[in-house]
Amino acid sequence: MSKFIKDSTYNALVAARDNWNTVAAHVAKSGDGEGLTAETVTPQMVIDALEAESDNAQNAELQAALDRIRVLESEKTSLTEQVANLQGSAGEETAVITSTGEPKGEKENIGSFADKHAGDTASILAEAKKEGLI
Amino acid sequence: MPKAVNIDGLSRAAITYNNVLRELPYFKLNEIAKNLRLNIISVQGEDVLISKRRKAGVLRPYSPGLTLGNEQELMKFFEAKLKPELTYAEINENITSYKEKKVISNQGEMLDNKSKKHPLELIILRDLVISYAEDVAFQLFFAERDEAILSPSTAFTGFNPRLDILVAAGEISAAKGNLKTTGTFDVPVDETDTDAYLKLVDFLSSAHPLMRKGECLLYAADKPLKAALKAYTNIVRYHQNPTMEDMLNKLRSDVELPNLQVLRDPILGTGDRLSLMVPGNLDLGVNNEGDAGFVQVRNPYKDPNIVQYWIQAAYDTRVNDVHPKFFMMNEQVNTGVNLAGDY
Repeated sequence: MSKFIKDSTYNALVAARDNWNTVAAHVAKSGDGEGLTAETVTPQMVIDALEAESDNAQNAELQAALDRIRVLESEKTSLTEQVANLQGSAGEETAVITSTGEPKGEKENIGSFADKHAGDTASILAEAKKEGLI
Repeated sequence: MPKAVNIDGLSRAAITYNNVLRELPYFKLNEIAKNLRLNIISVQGEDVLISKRRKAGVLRPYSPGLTLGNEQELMKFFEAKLKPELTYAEINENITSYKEKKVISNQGEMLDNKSKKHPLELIILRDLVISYAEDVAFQLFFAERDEAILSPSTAFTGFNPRLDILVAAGEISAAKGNLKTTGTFDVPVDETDTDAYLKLVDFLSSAHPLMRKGECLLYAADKPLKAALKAYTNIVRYHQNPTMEDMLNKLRSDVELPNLQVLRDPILGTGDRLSLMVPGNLDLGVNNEGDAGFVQVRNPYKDPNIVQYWIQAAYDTRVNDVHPKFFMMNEQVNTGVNLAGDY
C-alpha cells in the first residue's frame, strides 16, 4: 500500500505541530494566573500578543520623542525670555544719558538762533516767522 | 506792573538781536522779489555783468579773385553794473512815548510770562527795520539817487531810472527793436472802442521771435490792463462778460505767447509803462554787512529821553540785459505809489 502523504510532508507537519506546541506551552506558561493552558491557546491570541508587543515598542519610541520635544520647548522658552531681557531692559539702560550738572535748560530765543545761524537768511527768517516775530 | 522802555534796554536788544534785525529787510524784499520775479544779490563793492554780443552776417559766397580784407567786428560787450549805494535811516524819538502794556488774557487764553515771546524792545526795532525795508521796496522801480535831497525816492537808483538811462544812451531804441511806441492805454470811449486791447496785442506781437520762444514776463500796472479788459469786453460783448483771466488767455493766444506771465503789483505804480522780458533779468543788489550793528541805538542828545536809531545799508538795481532777445518796453512812464508803512 502506498503512503497516504509523502514523508517530507509528514515531517513538515510534525515539525509545525512541535513548533506550535512549544509556542502554546510558552504562552500558557507566561500567562500563569490567567487560567491559560497549552490547549486553550489559540493562534489569534498569539497574533494579538505579538501585535501588542509591537505597539508597546512603538509607544516607547514615541514617548522618547515626546520627552525630547518637551525638553526642547522648555529650552526655547528659557532662551526666548533671555533674548527679550537682552533686547528690552538691558539696551534701554545703556542708552540713557545722565548729567551731574545743574539743570539750566533755557529755551533758545530768536536772538541766539540767529547768532548760531548768522548769514543764513532763509533759516533765520523761517525761525522768526515760526516765533511770530514777522 | 508794566515796565517802561529805556535806552539801555533798546541798545542791548539791538546788539542781542543784531543778526535777526540784519535779515529782516529780506523778509519784505523777498515778498516783492517772489511776486515780481526779481533776484536779490548780496554784493560787496560792485558786481559787473558782461553780456557778449556776437556779430552774425559773416557768411559770404566765395569766388576766385574776390576782394578780401574787409575789417569786421566779431563781438561786443554790454556791461551792467550793480554797485549798491549807501542809504540810511535816522530816527530821533522821545522814549517816554513807549509803554509796555500787559495783556492778561488773549481772547480767553490766559497769558503768563512764558507766553510772551518777544520783548517790547525787539518789537520796536523790528518795526523800525520793516518800515525801512518797505521804503526800499516801494522805491525799487522809481527811486533816483540824489544826495542833495533826503527822501526815500532819492536814496538809491531804481529800475525805471536805470531804463531811462539806457534809453538816453541809445541801448534801448525803436531801431534796436527793444522800444515800441504804444501811446496811452485809455478806457474805451464807447462800445466800439477796442484800441486798448489791440495796442496790447500790437506791443506783444512786436517781441523778438527768440524771446517769444520761452517764458516771457510782462510788468504792467493796473491801468493799461484794466483799459485793455474793457476794450476786450467790447470785442466780445455779445456773447461774454470776460474776466481779466479770460482776456489774458485770449491775449496769449492772439499774440502767440503761450508762456506769457503778467506780473502786477502796487510797487509798479500807476501809468502805462509796459516792460516785457525774460525771467531773471532784474537784480536787486544789497549790502547790509558790516562790523557795526545793523540797527544802532544811541543817545547823543542832552535830553536823556531822546533816543536816536540809525540803520544803514546799500542798495542798487540792475537790468541785466536789454537786448531785444531778452527785453522790450514801451515809451510810457509810470509814477510811483508810496504805500510803505501805515502813514
